[in-house]
Amino acid sequence: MRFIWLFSTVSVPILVIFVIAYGVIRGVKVYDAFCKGAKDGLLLIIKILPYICATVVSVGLLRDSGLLDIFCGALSEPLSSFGIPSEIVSLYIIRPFSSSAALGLLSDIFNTCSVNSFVADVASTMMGSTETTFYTISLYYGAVGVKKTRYTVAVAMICDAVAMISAVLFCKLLLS
Amino acid sequence: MINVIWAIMMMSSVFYMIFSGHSEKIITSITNGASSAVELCISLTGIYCFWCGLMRIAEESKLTDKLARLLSPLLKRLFKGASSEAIGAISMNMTSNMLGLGNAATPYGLKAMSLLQKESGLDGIPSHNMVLLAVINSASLQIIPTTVISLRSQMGAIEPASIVATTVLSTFVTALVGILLCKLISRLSRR
Repeated sequence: MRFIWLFSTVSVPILVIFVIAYGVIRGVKVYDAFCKGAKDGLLLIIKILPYICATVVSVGLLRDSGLLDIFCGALSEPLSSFGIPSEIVSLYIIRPFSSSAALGLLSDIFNTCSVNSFVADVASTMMGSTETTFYTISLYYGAVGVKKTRYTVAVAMICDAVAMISAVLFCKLLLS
Repeated sequence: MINVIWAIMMMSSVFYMIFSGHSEKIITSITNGASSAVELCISLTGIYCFWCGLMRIAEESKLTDKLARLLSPLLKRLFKGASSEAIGAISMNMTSNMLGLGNAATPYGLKAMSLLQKESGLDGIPSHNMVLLAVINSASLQIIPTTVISLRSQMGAIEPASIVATTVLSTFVTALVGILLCKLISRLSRR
């Protein structure tokens, strides 16, 4: 476990040093190159702001209206009969929309069910193996002006469901 | 599809707030959401500039080419017909994702996306390669879930990092299912 901690704290600094050092060795004007690239980053942000605005506003409305809670309540009953804890179902619904909301829910689960419980393990696993799906998709497609998403959303939703089921299975197999 | 989902989300929330007697909250919610979107973008701007700058160094020193060559046998099989430039950006995107550098992964991913779009010649709809890239990025590839581990240790878990193994397995299964589904659909639809 020590190794994992070390790995996660040093990976960023090592990457930064390595890239710059490699550039210097190869004779790249690193400062000039960096500034040219940073300008691209600025343009990128301007390009994606409208899409982030659309996503964040709609998710905020859904949460503030209380519809999100109702939605979670309705789905948790049938799924809990398959051995999926109801707390996990709420996480499954919120996770694709908002990373911070999901993290808030996760700490809520840790508080109410104890951080050392089976539910906490499943929730942690799920949180770690999924992404903010809708945000990611609107960001990636927004940047290139793609409006039709074809089968992307369907496949991504199936993936999230797979992540939920496999989190339950692997935690049952390995941790309980 | 995202158009339909967005319309439903917006309209149902507003209607529900009107009927449940909270119509005064609608405009506050919209205002808060919109300004937090801008805040998010502003807070991202600096770090995006940083990673894009670093990426430029990696590009000019041909480091990305090297990494791409390492990963390309695998990625070329996944992304059929993509140029080596796109494969390079995708490999940087995936490497950053695996290391948990989400803020570094996104600029690479967006670059790959625009390259794939140029190559596809399609306007307004994604090619199969673009869908695959979006699906892979919406399944977290992170090997070490650092945020979750730090939250667990904050909350007093006996073994905060005990979920690493289950997370890696679950991530692997999820990504595999996503890739297989994309490949299956693209084979069936052929365009």
